[in-house]
Amino acid sequence: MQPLAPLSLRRTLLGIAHKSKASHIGTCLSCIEILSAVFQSVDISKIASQEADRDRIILSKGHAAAALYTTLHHCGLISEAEFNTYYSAGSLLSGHSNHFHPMVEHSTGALGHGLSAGVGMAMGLKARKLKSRVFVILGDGELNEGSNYEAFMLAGHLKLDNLCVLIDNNKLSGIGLTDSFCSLEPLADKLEAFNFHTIRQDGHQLQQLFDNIQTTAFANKPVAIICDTVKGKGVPFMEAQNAWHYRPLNDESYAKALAELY
Amino acid sequence: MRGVFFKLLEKQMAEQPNTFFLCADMGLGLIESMQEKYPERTYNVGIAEANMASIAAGLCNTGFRPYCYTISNFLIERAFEQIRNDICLHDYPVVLVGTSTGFDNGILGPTHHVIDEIGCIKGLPGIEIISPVAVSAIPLIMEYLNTSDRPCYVRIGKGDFDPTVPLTKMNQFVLAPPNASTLVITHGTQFENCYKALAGQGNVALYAMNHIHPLSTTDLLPLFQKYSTVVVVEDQLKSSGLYNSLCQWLVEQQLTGVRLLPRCVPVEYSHEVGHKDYFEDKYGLSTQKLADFFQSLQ
Repeated sequence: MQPLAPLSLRRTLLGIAHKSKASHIGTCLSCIEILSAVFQSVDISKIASQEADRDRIILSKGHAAAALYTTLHHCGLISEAEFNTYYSAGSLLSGHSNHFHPMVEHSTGALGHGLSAGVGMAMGLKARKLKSRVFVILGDGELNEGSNYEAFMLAGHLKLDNLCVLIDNNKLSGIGLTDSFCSLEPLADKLEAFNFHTIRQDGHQLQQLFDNIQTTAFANKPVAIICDTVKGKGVPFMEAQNAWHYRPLNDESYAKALAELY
Repeated sequence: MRGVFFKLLEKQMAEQPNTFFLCADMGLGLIESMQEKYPERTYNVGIAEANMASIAAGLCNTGFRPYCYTISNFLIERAFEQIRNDICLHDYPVVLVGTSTGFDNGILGPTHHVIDEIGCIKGLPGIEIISPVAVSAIPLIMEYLNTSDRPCYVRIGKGDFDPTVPLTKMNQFVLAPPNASTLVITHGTQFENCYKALAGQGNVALYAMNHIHPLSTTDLLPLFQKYSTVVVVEDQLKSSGLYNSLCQWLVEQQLTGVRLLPRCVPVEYSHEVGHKDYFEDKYGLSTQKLADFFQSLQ
């Protein structure tokens, strides 16, 4: 495994979140291990040179773009200077992931688009007989968007075993508990019914995530890994606190976050 | 027109291995041959238009040029955000092929009246819109699509009309009497009614537009400099289609002294049902109503 240590990623993420005064910190913190595991599972050099047979990574929950940019930066795919332009005028690094930056595969932010685009990529790679994988990272709140189920249905039918969906199940949506207004459960059963090889795990167990990504490749079914996560993970006063979906870091909360970060 | 389009598309599937065909459970009698010959590049995604649009974007990401096919209004209006974000924002060269236009499906009710989808999509940066007027235009359109690297919407109405002299250009004069002061501009299957309405009138010009968006000032400026009255005939809401585009274009060109008249569908959804001829008569788009209207202008 390459060194994309979650603690280091979170420290970097908090830095640009503070500098930019951007929101969506909680949702960025919950998917750090997922991004780390996915990027450690692919050939970064092929992404850097945009090879036709590169693995595709789509952050469908595009509001966690800062976490994606942080991971790309740690992989050497976004320079320090450019990384520091995040969320500022003239930058390509917008608050939702933006494909006008060449290292970002697909623009997202309107939820419920990434999985369908990923299914198209998976179909295209298969038609070209390329042994590459497509990783799509979804949010649990995003699963309220009906378009996902059109995509799940077709991916399962086509047995797209080059498709790996990772669901950041942090259980909090924009303004409340996901399960309190439109429950997703029993999520694993639903995904199994769509003919997905479904795994449920602690989404902060990096090694287990990495192993599951490795062992499920090209096994005659698409894969869904439900990652049970904590919104705001790593910063105790943010954990499971939905105020940090929108609240930006000020100097005081940034200092406290760094002091408590684990 | 659809039959010719699909025949040429199948030829293109053979000649250009980056062509990929998707449909949303539509195309009975048109797609079977492609499914049989090119199963790895032909797929029915089911009744899931939004999914189809995003899948097409994903296919472009892997180097394909997809054609997406279903009924025009579902193709555009159901999948609007996917077309905006996944296709146009990424500048992916997806060809959206819609079947049925205007009141082709009028008897099925207002959910199937294809009268507002041009306005829905024409504001998206990069999109091109093609509205075939006749059978002989289809090869020209396929040739054009082969050279274009833009996202494109092709709305194919039901009909197999062709003028006496086949078309040779995407946009061209079909009738150009030397002393005419009135010009009719039309697109799509309304071309047939206009052509028949003008037969024997002898003093009104007719300009057929297959490519209706974006507008070409090079093509249009000489028309508006030559004719004092220009009538736009289309099976589209007055607020949505070519007339609406030309209103903006005229203002931007600061052209004065030209009378631009709409012969379009009023801005309303019909509560009634009826076949195409019923609505064409109701909205003054039938051959007879158009002939009377053109006569009244002289």
